[in-house]
Amino acid sequence: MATVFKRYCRQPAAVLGALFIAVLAALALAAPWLSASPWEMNAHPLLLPFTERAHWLGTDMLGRDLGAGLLYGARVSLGVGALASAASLLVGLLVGAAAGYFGGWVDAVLMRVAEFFLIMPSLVLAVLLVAVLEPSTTSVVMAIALVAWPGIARLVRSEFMTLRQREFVQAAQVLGLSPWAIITREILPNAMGPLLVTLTFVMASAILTEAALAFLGLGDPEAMSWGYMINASRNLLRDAWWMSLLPGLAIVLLVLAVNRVGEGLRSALQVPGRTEASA
Amino acid sequence: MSDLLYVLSRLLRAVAMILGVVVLCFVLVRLAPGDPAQLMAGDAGIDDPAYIAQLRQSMGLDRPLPEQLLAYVTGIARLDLGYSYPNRASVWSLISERLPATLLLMGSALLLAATVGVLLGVVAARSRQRRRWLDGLIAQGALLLYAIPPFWLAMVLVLVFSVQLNWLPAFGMQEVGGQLHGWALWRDSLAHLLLPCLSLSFLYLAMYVHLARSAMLEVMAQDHVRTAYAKGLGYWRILLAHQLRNALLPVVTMVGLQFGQLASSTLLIEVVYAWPGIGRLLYDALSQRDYALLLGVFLVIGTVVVVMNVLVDLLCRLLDPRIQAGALY
Repeated sequence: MATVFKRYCRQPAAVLGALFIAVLAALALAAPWLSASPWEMNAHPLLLPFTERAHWLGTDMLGRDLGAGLLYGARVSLGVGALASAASLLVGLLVGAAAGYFGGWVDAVLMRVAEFFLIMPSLVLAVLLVAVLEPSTTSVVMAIALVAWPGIARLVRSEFMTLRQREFVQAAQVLGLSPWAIITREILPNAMGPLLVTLTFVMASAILTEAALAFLGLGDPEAMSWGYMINASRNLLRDAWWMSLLPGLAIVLLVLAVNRVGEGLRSALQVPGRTEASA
Repeated sequence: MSDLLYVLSRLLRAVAMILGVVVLCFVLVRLAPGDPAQLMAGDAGIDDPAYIAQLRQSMGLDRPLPEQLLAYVTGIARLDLGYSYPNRASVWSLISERLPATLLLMGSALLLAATVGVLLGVVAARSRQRRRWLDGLIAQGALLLYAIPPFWLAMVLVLVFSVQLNWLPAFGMQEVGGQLHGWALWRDSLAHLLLPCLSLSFLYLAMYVHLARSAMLEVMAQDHVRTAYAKGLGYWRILLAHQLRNALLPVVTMVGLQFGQLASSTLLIEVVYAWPGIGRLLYDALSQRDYALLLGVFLVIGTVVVVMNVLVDLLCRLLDPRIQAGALY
């Protein structure tokens, strides 16, 4: 564990990414104490950034503070990203473990279903689901999980396929442990590394999907989000460049940070794959 | 013979997948709050239970679910995707009118991303030894592009090239009211296509740079390449016939797998640029809560994606004789 941590810390980009996420998460949690509600129209509309100290990131067409919007938007991006990855992890684990452990026709059927969802245009499917279920945080998380689980399921399956052949699993089978015990106590802990790495990339794409949904007007109408802010700025591109630029930059930085953490974890945990990516 | 069998089995799987899309659509309609009859009556401002019951009967909603599914499937087989009430037109006529614009945008972006992406990937891999900075620059650039949401990139490009520099049009597919012919029409269309195509291609360009680069690095280290050098073959012959041909395979496979993603991004780009394709249609259908149109668009995009996957699978088989021999899978 200590060596893993050391290997991680030797990569500046990965450390920087983790730091960025930590600071952003802290700011997001403290948002109610740091700023007023992002919906409050309490300033001059269309203030340029760095012109007024009270609203140093500028305001939008309704006089809403952009800094407050960015702070509260971080809550949505991080929260939906984390919840959606957790939900896809749950589904992916169940499906992948069943397919990889039992094999045979269970595997064949489940993997066909996974392949189907992998190939389908995920955002279009997510759009449909959210539109049908009414936009809310729950429906957005569900839609992202629906399109994100197959990647995890396929990974879990292949890990199970290889681990199932190993002696310690066979020994557990001989000892008469139940499939559930073997899956949770013997196989899963050994598949943790690749799973963790994949999960970070799932989170990055979940953040992007949430932003895209909100941009299309399918975010939770009660929550200020970065995608919504970009959408609101669409007709004001000519007059207020900062309204679209700032939330977009926030998304890029967060996704970049999450990807960097993923690459860092990959090389720290020595998971094979795109090791050259950060070279 | 094995070729024919393979093609047949692949087609069978494609048909099963398209059927899956249809069933998914059917389930999604049933998930919607309130059944279509209630929605229709609500739109007409009628709240009479007898009228709703009559509507349900005429729409077949009172029959058992399997029977409804069968009717839905046979309807789709006859290209009857339903009727869009807000547009007062059949869903299929709306979609078929818009589909060419979407395919043009997707095709041009894919072409750009694949060619430039592979080119940059090869350049990066080949400069790893002597010009490490160039390799680093390309790899880091790709990683950055990979984190940018396409719809935001589209807006930034509009901001720079349309609003600030005034070089390129910001929306649409053709000049409004411009009676253009011949060369001028071509130029105008190209100018309108350029920004949407660029915004759409960057994400995939980043992906293909990455894939081509790591595939090239792998191939370059292999024995057969060393043998080719030892035989004294020319630079270009080794690069094209021995390295690139092998490095191309993962890229082609990825194009097939990612085609659905590309379709998704196209939807966002079409919204930003008011591109008259089916993505824009989907966006309008969203605000009008036009479920028939929404599902129709999903059905058509899903089918296009499945067909594209079959084509790419067959192409891979042509590119790599090893797959044919069953050595890889």
